[in-house]
Amino acid sequence: MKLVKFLLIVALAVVSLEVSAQSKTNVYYSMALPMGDTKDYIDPASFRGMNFEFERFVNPSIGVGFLVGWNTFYEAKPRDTYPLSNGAITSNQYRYLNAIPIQATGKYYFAGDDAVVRPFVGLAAGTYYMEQRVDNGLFSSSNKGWTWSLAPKAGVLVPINYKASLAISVDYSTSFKSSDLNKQNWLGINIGFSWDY
Amino acid sequence: MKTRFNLFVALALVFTVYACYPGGAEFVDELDTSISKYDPKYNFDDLDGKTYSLPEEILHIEDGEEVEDPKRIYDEDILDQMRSELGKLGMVEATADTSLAIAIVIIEQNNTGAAWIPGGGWWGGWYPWYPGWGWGGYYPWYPVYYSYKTGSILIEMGDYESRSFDDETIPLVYSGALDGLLQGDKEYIGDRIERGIDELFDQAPF
Repeated sequence: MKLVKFLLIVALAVVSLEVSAQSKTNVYYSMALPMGDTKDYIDPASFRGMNFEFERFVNPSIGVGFLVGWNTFYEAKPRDTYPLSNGAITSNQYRYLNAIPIQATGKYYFAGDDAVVRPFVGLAAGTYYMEQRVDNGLFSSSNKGWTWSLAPKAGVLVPINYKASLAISVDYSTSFKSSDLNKQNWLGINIGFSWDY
Repeated sequence: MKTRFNLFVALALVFTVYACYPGGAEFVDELDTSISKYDPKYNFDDLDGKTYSLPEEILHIEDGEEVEDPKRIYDEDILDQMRSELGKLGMVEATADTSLAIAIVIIEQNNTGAAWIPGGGWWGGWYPWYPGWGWGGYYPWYPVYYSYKTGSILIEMGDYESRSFDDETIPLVYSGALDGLLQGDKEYIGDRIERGIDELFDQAPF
């Protein structure tokens, strides 16, 4: 009997969530300013990035979902001499960092969807697939792998009409050190659109 | 409908970012590399006043085979530059017994792929004074890339004073490799070779 009651409660909760839930798709063009170890490796800001986020509201203020994206950092270093074990290499050097986040997200919205501006804070947590590559002339070496990641964020939605909003956010991404990759940090600046349905 | 829209937006963004993906080198000479490897046990600080010998002819290899009658477009310039660079180190060219024996190979590759060629393999039967001798001791690696038509110039230095008569080998103490794409006219390639040899002599251990 207890089990039936429990299943009934769960089923009703799911149904009520389905009935009341509102969904969102957020699409961002993403820029990133390297920080910490990432800045030591690649200094220039990245203007090549995007994020795609699906979000479902569990109540009018809280949305949960998932995010996938892609950020590419790149720096062309001038011709220089780099040390090798018992030797050296002189070449132009091209440095790349590709970061592909696959993260769960949670956001808290401070205003309802009828507000002029909807500020929010949130957290994304999950994994990054990272590829760190260095090309010295015709030589190429890379480290790649999965890392744990965390990205607190804050932003605003500015509704354009009853279905779409302009979305602006900043986040601070941390990709934690793994056996193959150093810790990486960057400040993301995201501009895009959010669609409700 | 909304799933299709989401998929469309996601794919459009992926293609947009992919289209903007940074491409690396724009010019052929930006792919040139100069690499030195050396035996840390050899005293390179004490070259002043020592002697060296250069090969009478540079060995030419094309697609893994020795070229019988090579064009020798850059040979004289390479040998002259080597004399100049070694002279700056205080070394004197010798015609017979010497401190450092130097060998130079020019390699062209037209195939696709990559190879790591071990040292010493080409020298059997070639060394001018002691036929049959090869390099001994420290063996470096030679990276030779040939995804396109590439050229490599290998400069090897052996410690001739420490040669082994029993094994008929000369300990290899230094190897320098220039790798690049073989594209451009004679002057352009010649300038890149000159820059590469300069860079080798600017690198450790000299």
